[in-house]
Amino acid sequence: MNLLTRLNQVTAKTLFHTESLGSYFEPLIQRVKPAWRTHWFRAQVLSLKPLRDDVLQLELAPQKTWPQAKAGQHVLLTLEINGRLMTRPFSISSAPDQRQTLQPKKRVIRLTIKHTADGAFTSALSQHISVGGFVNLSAPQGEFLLSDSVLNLPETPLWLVAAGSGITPFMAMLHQLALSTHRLKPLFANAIQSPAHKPSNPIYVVYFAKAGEHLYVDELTVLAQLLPQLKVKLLVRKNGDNLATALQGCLASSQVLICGPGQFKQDVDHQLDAINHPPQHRQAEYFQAPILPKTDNGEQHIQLTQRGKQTQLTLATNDTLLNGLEQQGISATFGCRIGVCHQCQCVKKSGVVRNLRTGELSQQGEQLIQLCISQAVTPLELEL
Amino acid sequence: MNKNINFDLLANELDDLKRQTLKDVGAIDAAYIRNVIVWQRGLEWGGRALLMLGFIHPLWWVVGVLSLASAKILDNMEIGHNVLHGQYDWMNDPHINSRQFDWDIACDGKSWQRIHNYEHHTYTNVIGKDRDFGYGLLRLSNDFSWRLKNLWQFITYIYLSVLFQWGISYHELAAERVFMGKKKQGRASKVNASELKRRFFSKGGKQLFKDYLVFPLLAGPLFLWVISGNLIANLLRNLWTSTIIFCGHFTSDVHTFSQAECENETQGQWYYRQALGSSNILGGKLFHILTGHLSFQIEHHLFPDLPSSRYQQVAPQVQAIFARHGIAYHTGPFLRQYSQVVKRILRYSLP
Ligand code: FES
Repeated sequence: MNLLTRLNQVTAKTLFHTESLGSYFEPLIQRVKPAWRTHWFRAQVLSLKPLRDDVLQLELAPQKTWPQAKAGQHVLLTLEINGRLMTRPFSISSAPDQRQTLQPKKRVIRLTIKHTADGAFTSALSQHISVGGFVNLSAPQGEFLLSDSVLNLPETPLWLVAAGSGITPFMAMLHQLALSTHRLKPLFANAIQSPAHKPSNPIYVVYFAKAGEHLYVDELTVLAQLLPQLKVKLLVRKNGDNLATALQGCLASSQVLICGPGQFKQDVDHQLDAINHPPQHRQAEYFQAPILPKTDNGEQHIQLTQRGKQTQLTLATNDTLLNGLEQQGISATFGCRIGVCHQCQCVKKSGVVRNLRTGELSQQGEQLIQLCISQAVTPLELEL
Repeated sequence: MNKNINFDLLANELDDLKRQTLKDVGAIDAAYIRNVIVWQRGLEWGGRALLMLGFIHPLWWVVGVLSLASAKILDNMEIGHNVLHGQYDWMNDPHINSRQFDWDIACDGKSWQRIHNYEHHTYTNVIGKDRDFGYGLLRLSNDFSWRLKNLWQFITYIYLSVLFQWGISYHELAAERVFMGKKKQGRASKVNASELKRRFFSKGGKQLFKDYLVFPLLAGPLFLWVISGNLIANLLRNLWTSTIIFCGHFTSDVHTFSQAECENETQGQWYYRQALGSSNILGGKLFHILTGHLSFQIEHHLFPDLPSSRYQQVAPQVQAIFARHGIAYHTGPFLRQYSQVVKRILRYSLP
């Protein structure tokens, strides 16, 4: 921790009882800069457009200090939805260092957001943000990146295998590859100039989706013109397309990147194993299919983090989280045990809990919950 | 307890009311608490600046003191008390929540939360369990036997009010246990005594350091204006909070309960006890905000984690429910409530 941060914290703690000066002044600063927050970066909404009924594309201009994302990374997007701050991760689908066409000084990032079964966030999204308004972003995160072998060895074939909205990080990578590393030009502009150096790796995009639901088809066509070595296969399982044929020609030396639902990732892995493609040449990012609420007599699965240590637990059915944890020998702070005092409060990182007093189900994302009146409905990540 | 009340029905109606109200909680309430915080910051800084203009005309200083005192009152009551109750936790705000928040008084927020939210709110007015009933200093009902020191308890009360923040700090720490080694059965503390002591001194020390050293020193030659201003602002806040809190629990019609009465209590009976153990104060909107909505002590005790921004709205409905069940709803104008408190303190100073 550097000296300034330390000074800031000590002053804030002594004079204002807050963790930093920023958190003391935050509500005031927000009067001038809407959505200014100490914990996150700010970004202005430049455009908001539905790509499909259930897919929304968001263009954002992050503040200057936002660290540059690498192609393939994602961010946590935070919105204030009816007074409540909600956070979800989304892949960035634009190339790094993309600039705004009108104000070339401003960076732009593009997020492609698919409505999921847990629609609370995504369906509220279009109602609660408007062009010109502000949202919050985390620093870019994630290790799903183009590997050095791809970037530096022009002969390594690159396979990008996507399903559904899994195409988003690949869009970022393809744009990055299509643009010169020297002169970055706005993308999606009609007149994309040919960059000076182009990577020459053979690139295969294998993209499964339901019929008529492939995203960014036009953009992929443009990219294919810029990158003559790019081959795009838009596939539909229902139409008889399968992985075996799609992955034909994938060499052991190929670098394969997989993005899609968890099941899809497994299928691709099987197919690659079958053709003896070595796992160390694979990278994957996958999302679990939405977990359906379990019945009341289901077990409660908890991933618990205590001071950085992680443990997996299975708690008895029909018990509160507080009782369950105690039975496993984990002592949590508590007071009344009837939901009044909030001492048993802890951070739920993800998952759904039922509030036993009101019967209500929680959101999926990060929230404070009271252990003494909560029960896990889906697997949970908790922090004590 | 009154056997003629249908406690289950009462519980259902109050639960419903809470559920219905919570449904509407949202952007308005978040904006409300942020707004109060903005006012608090404004009053605090306005006040601190004006204190230094005392040398131009003392009136500036007076306004400064009042402004700073109001800021401290807002911080203590409407913001601190309610945020520490978890009323705004649903906002998911990294700063405005019961885990992060600490307030501008000598009592460490965490220690307060541990005792107050638990002991006082769970066992409201249960003699022997709710240590807030008389704060271990005052005899306020016949449940306690008379002792000689009760004779001058009105003076003790004045001292307590003047030093209220320190009293609370000492009290919430359960200092008699920590410092004197007194033990009470069945009250295992999960935080050890040395940790409690550390918090007591570190928080209290910070308070003294900032109000009586840092800010006065920053004022340079205006040191005396600032230090006296801070002292008086703290005093005003202490008197105000103490007075409001006493009106909430120690008016003449407030009941006490024995531990036996509360064993195996149902939700309805718990509500009933909260209702009889508290009393409200009538007043205008600003008054309510300055009391941190503890002028709605009854509603606060029924629904301690309902955002304070909703107490004014639920009060008439609570009153209607009570009326239907034949439960008394204790309320009255400030002077009447306060005179009852004074009478109660005086009455029980005699055997
Ligand atoms: S233990 Fe009091 S709210 Fe959970």
